[in-house]
Amino acid sequence: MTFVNLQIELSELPDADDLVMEPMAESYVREVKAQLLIIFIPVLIASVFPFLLTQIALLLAIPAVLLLLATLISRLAIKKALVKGVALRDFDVAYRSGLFWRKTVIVAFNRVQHVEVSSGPLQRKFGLATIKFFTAGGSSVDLKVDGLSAERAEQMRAFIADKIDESTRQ
Amino acid sequence: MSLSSAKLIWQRTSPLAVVFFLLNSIRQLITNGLPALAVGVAAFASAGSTAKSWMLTGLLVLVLLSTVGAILNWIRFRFCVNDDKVLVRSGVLKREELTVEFGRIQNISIREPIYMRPFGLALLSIDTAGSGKKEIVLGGIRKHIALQLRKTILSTTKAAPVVPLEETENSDDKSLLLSRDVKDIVIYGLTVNFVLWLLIAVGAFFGAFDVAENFFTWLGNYIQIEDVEAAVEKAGGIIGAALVMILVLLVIFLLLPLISVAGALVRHYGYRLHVEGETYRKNSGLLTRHDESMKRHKIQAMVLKQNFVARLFKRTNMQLRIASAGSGRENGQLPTGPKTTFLVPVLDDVELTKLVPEFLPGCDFSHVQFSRINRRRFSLVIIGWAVLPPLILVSGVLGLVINWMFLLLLPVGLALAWIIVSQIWSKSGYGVVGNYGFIRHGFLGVEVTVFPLYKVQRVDIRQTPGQCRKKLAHLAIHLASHSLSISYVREQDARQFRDLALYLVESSNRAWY
Repeated sequence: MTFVNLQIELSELPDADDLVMEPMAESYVREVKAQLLIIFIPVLIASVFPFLLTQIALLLAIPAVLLLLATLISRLAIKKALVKGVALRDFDVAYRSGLFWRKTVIVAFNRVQHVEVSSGPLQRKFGLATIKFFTAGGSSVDLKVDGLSAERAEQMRAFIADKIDESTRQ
Repeated sequence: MSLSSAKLIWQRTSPLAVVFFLLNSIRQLITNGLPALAVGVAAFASAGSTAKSWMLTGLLVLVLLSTVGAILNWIRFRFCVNDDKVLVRSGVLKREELTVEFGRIQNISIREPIYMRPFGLALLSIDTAGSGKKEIVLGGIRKHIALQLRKTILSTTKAAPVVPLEETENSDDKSLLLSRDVKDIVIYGLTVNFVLWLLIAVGAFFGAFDVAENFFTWLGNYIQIEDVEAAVEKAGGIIGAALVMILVLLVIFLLLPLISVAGALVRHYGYRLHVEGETYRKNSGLLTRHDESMKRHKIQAMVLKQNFVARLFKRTNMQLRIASAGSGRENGQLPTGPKTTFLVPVLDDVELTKLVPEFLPGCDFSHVQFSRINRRRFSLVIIGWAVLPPLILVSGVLGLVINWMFLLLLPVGLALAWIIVSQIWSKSGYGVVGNYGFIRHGFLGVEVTVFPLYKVQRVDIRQTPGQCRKKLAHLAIHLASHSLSISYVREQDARQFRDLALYLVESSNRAWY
């Protein structure tokens, strides 16, 4: 790519992909597992009923296939949770996610309109919180990290609120 | 009445605003309740005479109710202009109070609807930025007050040099940046709805025959098909019918651009663009005069559109995009309404090179070198995943079931897809000149978006497994006005583009709004 008439040297720019990403909280994987169990156990139990009612052995294939699928999905979900990473730099926050379809989102602090920390009932059980960053503009999804420990999320919120104040004061 | 005496005093709009409120509620009724309305009309048409009279009574009651509603709305509507903000109290059932600081205001426009013109009244709408606040419309205030209000608001906007605005409509020629005559507006009308009538033309020939047939059957029933049939018989049977069909299609094709041109004339007749310091003002309109203002630093992006028709005329339509009220989160959609764009229509090349740096200072449009996206991957993925499977399925099934000739669809379809994909590829591009980013897309026409890199809100880089392997990426740039994206960019380019934008965002403390 040709950059024309630049005022700075491109090689001097910090590359956002050199960042060391901070992984999600340890309990996040446990929360993901709990979520998966909550979804899959009722489904698996329900899938045995056709066999119990009709006594046709072939119908046992349904729970077997479902079990296989559930393990596969769970494995991927856990891997996905482990891949997620967030990094705070001096002027921006970066978030990387995705196992196959990788995605890196970066928001500069002086573009953040407000920050929101929330935690659902399951998250509270595991001491986790979700932090959301809102910017102005047309996109419906802004930066959202949902596997941070509650303290870390609060810390981050305070840090960024500070930064936003700083940039508006200038 | 001077503005200083209006301070802190709650004011009402003119009683004529009742008409404005009434029109508003009618418009809402029509846009929200169109299906219900259609059902109502159908029911009315098929109902007996007693039912008809009941329905008419109902309609009368509805009209009366909305009139009363409009009057109540007007009584409840009060506004107040402070030193640095506008306050509005409104609402009949649900009371509402809105406060908008001058610094938050993106765009002010003054309209003079035809029913207000004789009374010297105008309509002032104020568009705000950011967190989903609504737009304020002061319907029915004296025109000179509207002009004065705008002057006050614009001159107190943050960090802007105070430039006196002229009170009068007829500004002197020094400040005139651009004017469009009738010929230009006609060309604009031809260019603007091009896609729509192309689609209709294509639709009439492929696939949409059912719709057309139903329509003509309905039309035929309506205008006594027997007469037409007799006429057709006289004219010469089936050939005559075909001729009539072609004639009708021709009329439609001629009519659509005509409607589009008429619409353009109504909206943009007498287009004049003025600049006063940092403030741009445009005047246009045949029946309702529109008077819109915008500050230069509010521009988030510039979109240069040149579709197939515009290319024939060697003209480009320029849209200046502004951050919009209520965009994004609440609606979950991109703001594309006319309120968020400031139109500068049908520019020739000379005007374009003059105006681009006017709106985007220091933007050297002529030096941009567009980098291409990866052709092989782009074509292979689009054709391999999106075109080939359905094509094989359709031609295979048709070929086996009906006639082997249908198998020829496969190479023909592939060739067509290849041409289209190549065309799209050749129009895709990206580049950076100085502090401005450029992204280009297109198929038959081209659309180039130019944006100051320091106004970027958020940058995403995405990669599919295939892109990962080939060191390619999808770059998405989110601006306060809208979002842009480009795929199959070299990974390194995407990163450099992003890092440069972030650097400029973070190192400059210039506000984006």
